Amino acid sequence: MSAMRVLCCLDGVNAEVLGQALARLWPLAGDQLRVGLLYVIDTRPLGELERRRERFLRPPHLPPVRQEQLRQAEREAAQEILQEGARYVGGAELLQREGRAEEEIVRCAREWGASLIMLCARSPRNGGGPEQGPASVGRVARFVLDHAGCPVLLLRGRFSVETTGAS
Amino acid sequence: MFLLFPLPALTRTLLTALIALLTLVGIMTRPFRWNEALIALSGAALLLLLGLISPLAALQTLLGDWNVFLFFLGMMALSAFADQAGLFDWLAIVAARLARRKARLLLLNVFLLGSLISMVLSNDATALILTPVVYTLVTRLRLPVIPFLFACTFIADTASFLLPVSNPINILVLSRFQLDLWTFVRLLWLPALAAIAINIGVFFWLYRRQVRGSFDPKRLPSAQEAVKEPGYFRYCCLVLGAVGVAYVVASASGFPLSCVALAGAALLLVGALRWRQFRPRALAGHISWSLFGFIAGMFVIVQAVEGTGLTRLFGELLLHLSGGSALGAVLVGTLGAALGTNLINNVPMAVVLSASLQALHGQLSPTRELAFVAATIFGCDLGPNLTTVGSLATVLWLLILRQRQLDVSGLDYFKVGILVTPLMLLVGAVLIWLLLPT
Repeated sequence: MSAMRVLCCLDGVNAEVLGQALARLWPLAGDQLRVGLLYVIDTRPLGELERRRERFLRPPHLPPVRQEQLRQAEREAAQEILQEGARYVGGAELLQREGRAEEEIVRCAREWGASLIMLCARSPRNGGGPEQGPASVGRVARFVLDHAGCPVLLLRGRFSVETTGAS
Repeated sequence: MFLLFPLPALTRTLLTALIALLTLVGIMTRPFRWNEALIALSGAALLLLLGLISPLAALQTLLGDWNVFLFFLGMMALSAFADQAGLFDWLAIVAARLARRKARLLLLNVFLLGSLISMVLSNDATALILTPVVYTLVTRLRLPVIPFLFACTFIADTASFLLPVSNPINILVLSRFQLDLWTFVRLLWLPALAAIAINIGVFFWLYRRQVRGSFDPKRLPSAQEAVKEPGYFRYCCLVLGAVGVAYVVASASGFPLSCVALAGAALLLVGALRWRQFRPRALAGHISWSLFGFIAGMFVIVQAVEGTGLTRLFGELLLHLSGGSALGAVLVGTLGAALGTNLINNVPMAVVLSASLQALHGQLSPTRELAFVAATIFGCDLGPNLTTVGSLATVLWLLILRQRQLDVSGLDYFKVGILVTPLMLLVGAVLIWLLLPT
């Protein structure tokens, strides 16, 4: 029996929920379960900044010092989120990507050889939304459902954003 | 060259109008991603080459607008020096500390900080320098980036008519109309405050689910960390404070604001040299040289169009649409300016509208002229909030991308813009009308 490779998509606030879901899968898959934790640094806000600069007739790229500061903050936050995820899922492979979250999840799943993608239906960081109905599935989850080459497990439920980076 | 072969007036008018129109369409669509400055300068060069404006008239126009050019330079230099001193980073950290761990309070503080920076250092400084600083800060705090990013970009324009120096567009318009500081403040402060309040209120409602909870202040860098050289930082704060006061005094007394901005920049340059903080490359990177070409090109084109009497016709059309009332003047001025800034860009729109209104000087009652001028400033300043880059063409492009299932944050921006901007424009326009002298 080949290993079951589960790609869990972190969004900064869902590590606990993913950990709980994996705990239910573990008895079924046993030793055959391989877990990858993925966090994608979203590059769209940076694109927004660049468009804004163009409106003010500036070259789109930020000054190098600012760009470096920003990138470093993003990388540090990503590492922290992955380490938090690893606390809930011991032995998981940590994967970090940059780009549009939805596209990177599909690409990473293909490259990593995922047999299941696990992600939340909608991140509370992107507006929460209703628990049922079409709007309960966010655009990232919708894109992954439409384009992934393997089964996708959507997780629903409320998560507390109070924990986001709180001491 | 047509100067040597006199053309009939109608042919000159048609040729000038065609070149002006093609230039505006070029700025709107930016074929092959050409720079706007290149397009504007090409249009101006073509007019000069065809003799549709004389070199002397073009030169006189550019020299006559020295205050605008030098203000742009001084304003950008001031922001650049303040950035090098670490002022923006320091202010953002202080704003975060004052938020007492609450994400919503931080959003409010970002709005207030953006308003303050726009008021004194112009919308340019908020949109271009404060935004990446706030982006980095909220990323470190692990808060959702988009609400804070949009807060900075929106407030840059929303708070840009608190003072004449808050937006270079104001200087552009005021270079043709002598509006004293008291009149400016009396007509535009209340609409500005109302627009800021609406902006904040709508954002809090829109992002009520994303922006909530608390953040860990331990993630914040210390305020001292942001300051590279404490001596220069203190000196910079002192100079900027003095510049702020000087701006108000100069606006009130009719002294050229460009002189204040340049004097402030010169003082900061001296300080940067004294504390060995002068970095010419970083400074040059902050200055948009193409902006000067863009404005120069637009000034020459509009001057040529003015010579044909077309701007006067456009002004008369605005007057006709206004129905002869002050309320009509405010509404037509605001709507026309706001739509125009999104079709082309707010710089050419402000130049075209000011020229058209100036052509009507004497034909309008003082109240209606004031209504049109205030509405032009208001519409040109606030209008760009409607679309992500002040261009409907870009929005159409974004919509096409959307159809191809590519998600773009530009569309998110448009969704917020279409919700909040018309409301701010309407409330502000009505307030301007109510504040007009009877």
